[in-house]
Amino acid sequence: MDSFLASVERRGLRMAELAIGNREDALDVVQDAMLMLCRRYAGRDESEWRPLFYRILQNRIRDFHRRRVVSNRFRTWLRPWSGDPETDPVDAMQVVADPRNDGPESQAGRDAAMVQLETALRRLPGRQQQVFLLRIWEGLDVNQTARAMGCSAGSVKTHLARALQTLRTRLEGYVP
Amino acid sequence: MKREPSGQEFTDRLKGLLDADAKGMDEPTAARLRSARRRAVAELDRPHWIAGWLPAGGLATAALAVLVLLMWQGNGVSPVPDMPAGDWEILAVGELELLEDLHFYDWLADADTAG
Repeated sequence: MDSFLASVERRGLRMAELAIGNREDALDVVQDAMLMLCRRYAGRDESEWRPLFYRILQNRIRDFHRRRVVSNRFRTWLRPWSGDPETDPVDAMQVVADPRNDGPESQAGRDAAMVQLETALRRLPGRQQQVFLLRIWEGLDVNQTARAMGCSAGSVKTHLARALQTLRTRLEGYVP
Repeated sequence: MKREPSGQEFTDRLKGLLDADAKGMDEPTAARLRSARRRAVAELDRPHWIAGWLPAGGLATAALAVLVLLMWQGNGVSPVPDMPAGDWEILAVGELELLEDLHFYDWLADADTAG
């Protein structure tokens, strides 16, 4: 199990980071996925671990987005007296620096093609981003990807075709 | 004339970029991943009943917190809005941290009112 997790942890983190938008939350999500795999599915055949891990990871990412929506709604509800946006104090989360927006110094050393690829991936619809990363990067086959994403094989093919078409257009000139 | 890369060439290049990016991950992040992995693998040595009962305990705590919240709202502090049923489910199951923040929001409300 240790060597399996070691083989997927970095890709899992980058997938979560691309989907969620920041590294701290992505680390939490990956850790949860690892724990869940060990607690519930360690007894399964090893060939099932990879799609199971990514299924758990995608579920955790989806739960993260749902909780964020509910949390925002909940906070709004708990503060009914803050009806005037002109006079309300600014939400700290709205002004805190977004870790995705690396400064020019930190980006300077990064490969331009990777920066463009990351930007293009972030702009993809969520399902297209997932299917691209699972099929092309992780190398899952169509059925494994469908299982990890909880959708049909046909849907995987459609999302992948659209993702590749978009990426090819957006990365023209950056990926020789 | 510049040749357009084939589908396989194109995806191989993207995969190569992503692989290089993951391989070059900064050491502090890689160390945190290793630590998370060790904690997960340690779960394999824990008795199964612990893994089964801890989430149940957390769920009971969350359910109790939601009940207290509803009673608090019932005291006329503020009306309960029409929240979708799914929202309560999420709050009950996965939002322990948020519920723990309620004390903070309560304090914030008092501070705003006093101010």
